[in-house]
Amino acid sequence: MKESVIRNPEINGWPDVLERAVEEVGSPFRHVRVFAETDSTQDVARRERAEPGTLIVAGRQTRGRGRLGSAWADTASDGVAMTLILPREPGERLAFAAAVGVARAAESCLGRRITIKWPNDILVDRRKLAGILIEQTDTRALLGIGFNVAQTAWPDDLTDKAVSLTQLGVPILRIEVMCELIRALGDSLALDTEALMQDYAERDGLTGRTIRVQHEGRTYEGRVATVNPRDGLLLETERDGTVHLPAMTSRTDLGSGVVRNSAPVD
Amino acid sequence: MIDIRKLKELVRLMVSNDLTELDLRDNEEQVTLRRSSVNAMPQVTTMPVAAQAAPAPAAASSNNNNAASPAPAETKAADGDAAPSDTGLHRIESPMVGTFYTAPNPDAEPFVKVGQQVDSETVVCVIEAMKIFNEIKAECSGTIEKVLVKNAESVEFGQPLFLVKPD
Repeated sequence: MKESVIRNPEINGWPDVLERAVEEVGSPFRHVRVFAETDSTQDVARRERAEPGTLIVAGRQTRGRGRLGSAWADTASDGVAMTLILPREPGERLAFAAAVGVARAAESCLGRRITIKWPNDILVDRRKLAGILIEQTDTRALLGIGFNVAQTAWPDDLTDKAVSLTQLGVPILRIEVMCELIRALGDSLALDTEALMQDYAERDGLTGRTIRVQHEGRTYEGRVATVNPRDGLLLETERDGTVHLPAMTSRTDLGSGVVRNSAPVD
Repeated sequence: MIDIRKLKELVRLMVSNDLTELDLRDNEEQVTLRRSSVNAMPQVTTMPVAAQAAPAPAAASSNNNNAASPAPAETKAADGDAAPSDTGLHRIESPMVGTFYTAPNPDAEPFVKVGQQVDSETVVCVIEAMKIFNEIKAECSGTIEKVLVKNAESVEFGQPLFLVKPD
């Protein structure tokens, strides 16, 4: 049999379990499609032109993408890769709601508070546990989530940047993490801006820190005045005054030793 | 022993839907009905499920598809179609039993069309088995010569799906 389609028995029960989870949570979730293996759930979502509310899940994602052209390591059978298709919405709210949802799911798995590094990384002890990629098409937003679950080792360049639930002492199945994500995103995507700001602020890893941000070919350095779903990130710089940096097109750099931020693979 | 009225009902169903073969089973019993031609009366075989030593030919497919679907009596046909023009062409075969889809959804363009160039990484179709979608790659490079299966038809393990003219 062709290597690429050998069935991983772990995923056999996924469609039923996920359908039940989606049904319990309801809006914005409507359908689930489980792929045994694919390049990237974001690309499946584009090809599928599936309606908003569809959740695409891969048993294995071989060529995942991060933001701004970076790559996401092969999930093999160790990570979660999913894309939720939503109606397109203007502004920054979706990025924040997604981050809060993924953070809450991580917290239910870990039993402790974690940090969000604006706009798209979920960090534990400065290592990346999960990442979020939001891409927009004409009418839809594709909310992609990569979550490290059972990895016990990383390629050399990621060893200090990435971490999994297993490495944090939480042995858990990928399907359980997905169900947590579905529940948490169902809640966070329904929050109003006010509640979202508060929820985000409790996990904000940036406000008050001095960071570097790359945006449209320029690098800005300064102190983070605020990060919130209304304004995005406001950076107080010496050179350019207060700069507004939108989540969709900026890359944060925590400075001092961290060269670039986009672990797992950059 | 199966209820004779049920059996009559099944026979009527077969005749009215012009089915040549029907294979039904539950925990206790298995019934196989076969008609050699449209006008002939069905032949009946019943057996307790425990004694599955002589399974009906259609058993393999109806086991994996939901048992209710009596349709694909002629799934092997594609094999025959492929044979004559097969020389020099590469076959992309189904690696599993499932439902074949030519496009990601009914409104979308098909993954590939006749005449289209593919390489080993090109996704040519999706096969759904037990609600899991499996992207099937060409795993060869060349030009699609023929699509051997219709959208949403069930396919067998090893059944040819596409003919590809190698580069």
